[in-house]
Amino acid sequence: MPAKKQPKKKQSSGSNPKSKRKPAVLKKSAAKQSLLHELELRDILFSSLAQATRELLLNPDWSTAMGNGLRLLGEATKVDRVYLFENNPAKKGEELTTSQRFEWNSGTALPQINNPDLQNLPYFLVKESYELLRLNRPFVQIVSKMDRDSSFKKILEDEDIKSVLLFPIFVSDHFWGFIGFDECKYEREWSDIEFSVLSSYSATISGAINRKQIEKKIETALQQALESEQRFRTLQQASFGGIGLHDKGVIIDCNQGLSDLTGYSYEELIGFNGLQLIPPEHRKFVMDKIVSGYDQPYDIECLRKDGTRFALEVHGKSIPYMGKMIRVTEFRDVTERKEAEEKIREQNTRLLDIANDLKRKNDQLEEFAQIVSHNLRAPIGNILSLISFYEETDKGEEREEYFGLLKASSHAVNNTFHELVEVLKIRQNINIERQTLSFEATLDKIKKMFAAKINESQAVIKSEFQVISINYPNIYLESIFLNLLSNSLKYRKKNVTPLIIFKTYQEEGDIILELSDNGLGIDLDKYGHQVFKLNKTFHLHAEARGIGLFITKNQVEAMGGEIKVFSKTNEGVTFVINFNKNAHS
Amino acid sequence: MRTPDRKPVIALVDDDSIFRLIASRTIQGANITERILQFTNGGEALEYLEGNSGQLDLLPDVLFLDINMPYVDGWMFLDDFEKIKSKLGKPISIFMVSSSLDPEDVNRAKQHKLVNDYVVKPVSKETFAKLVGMAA
Repeated sequence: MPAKKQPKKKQSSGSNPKSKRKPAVLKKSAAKQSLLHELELRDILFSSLAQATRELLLNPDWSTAMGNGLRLLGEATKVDRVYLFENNPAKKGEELTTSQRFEWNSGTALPQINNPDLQNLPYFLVKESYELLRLNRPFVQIVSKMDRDSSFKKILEDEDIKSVLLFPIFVSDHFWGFIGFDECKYEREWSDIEFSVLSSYSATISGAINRKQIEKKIETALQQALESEQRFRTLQQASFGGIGLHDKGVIIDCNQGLSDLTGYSYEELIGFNGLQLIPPEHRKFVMDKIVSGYDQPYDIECLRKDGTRFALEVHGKSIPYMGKMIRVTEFRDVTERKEAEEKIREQNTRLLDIANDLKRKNDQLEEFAQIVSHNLRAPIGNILSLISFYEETDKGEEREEYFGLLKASSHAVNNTFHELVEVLKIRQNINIERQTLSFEATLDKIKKMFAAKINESQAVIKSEFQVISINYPNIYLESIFLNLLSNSLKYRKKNVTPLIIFKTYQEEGDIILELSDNGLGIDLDKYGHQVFKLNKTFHLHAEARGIGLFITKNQVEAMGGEIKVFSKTNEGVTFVINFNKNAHS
Repeated sequence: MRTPDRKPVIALVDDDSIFRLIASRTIQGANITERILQFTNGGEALEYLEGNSGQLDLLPDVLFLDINMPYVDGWMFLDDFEKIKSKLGKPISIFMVSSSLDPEDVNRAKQHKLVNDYVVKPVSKETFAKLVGMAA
């Protein structure tokens, strides 16, 4: 039981030392004394309030500040107990309860801070106070005057409380709790000044709690921001490539990956124009992608700090950031992928080359089969027939005739056979010795060989050799010039001065020889498939034997080149030889 | 259509003069005709056919065509013949004659709608007689 003994004479720190122990109830008759007393009391109260307020404002430790504040006010008002209750959070429909958080005790009353009844105390047990407090109004009560059935009265009486004063604490228009004063010594009436000081302190507490809550919110928000930042960093660093945030190229932030890729440090990269990571020739392309908001991955070259380059895949996306659109861009080193692609391409090219080579070889085999079929079998068939004619006749005259034909047929077989062997030699002998040959000198030599025919036809032969020489087998180059020139002289138009032009030039690194004339030309629609075949002629011309172009084609192809013909009837002919066409494989 | 008592006119189109000589003597030996026309290439033959269209006595009934010839070869002849055959006034049976055993040539000839058959050189008397008999 709390003792009913007189409160100890006790000076509150910093309060007026002259303040003395006074009778509990002021007598109205002693007005003057009362006035003095009230002034003194006011002094003490104000000074205590000031200190208690300062505590709440300046002491960073909320518990100490509250403890000190309650003590200061308790001592100044000479009550027996000062305490702070905080309402417990209640869901809708749940009973509102309140718990005691702090208590100061004069020593007269029993401390209640450990009283379990004062934790989670339902307001319906103290409903007289609740009805006022929740409306932000104080509750002032002489306990003996309370309704006898009141549960609240019983609680107060159990603690020997004679007089009670409660001030609500509202934080942000929300009923947070209350601060209370107990008087156990007598049935105390509260003076206006006490009333307003306590009221003021409750407002200070409310402000402090509000501030504390805001600080807490800020702290939580900061913490969350920090964690979010941390998470972002972790994600960024965990990424296998580089990630950068940039505003029209200027890097706002990036991860370590981008540093690793580019060789620039993080510090160097921030504020850096990311376009400088791209070689100058690709910058416009990349800037167009940025400006247009392109959001698909694309490949580009990247320029490292040390000037080296590598294959980069860029994947950018525009996102809103602090009121404007910026780009998040992912950078990925795709050197390996590129190399793999390159390898596949190379292998593909090689396979194509092999396929082309096989096709050429197959074409050649077919060509040989054709030659054997037509050019060798035909005269042999004739020989067989002539032999049986020879045997069947007795007439010497006829026999002589057949013998002559037999001789001619054998010569034909022999000629074809020699030509075939010559072509086979050309095809086999791909390692024939090459030497540096001047086109001009070769042409001059061939012109001398044809001097008589050139003179007779009055042919004009011109040359424009942009490429002056070539590394080639001498006899082949001479043979090519010979066959082309011979062809043009042979198929000239009557009554037109033949004009024959030889040219050489480079095309994609290949050396090209071109011959064009103003002769009869060839109807390629009709004869295109036969131009380079053995023993094919397209003109009813005495000298046409059809061997020259066949040899030329074989020589050119054996050396890795290609020959093409362009012509129309009566519009001359153009032969184009690419010496290197198939030499790359 | 020729009357049964008249012997057919036969044309040889081949650039090989020795083959033409052998073939004409063989045909004569078979006693199947008295009239053999000779052309050294497809162009010459076409010129003759066009120039004598309607003159049934002058046009051949059977034509032996070589494949491999300079200028207009056997295939080109067939392309051009297709265009003029309706103007000739007389059907002409065409046999392709070649030394080639190349299946590409053989199949192409056998599948050609204008070609009656494909014959490999050398051609015997009996074969000539049989082919001309087939065309009759």
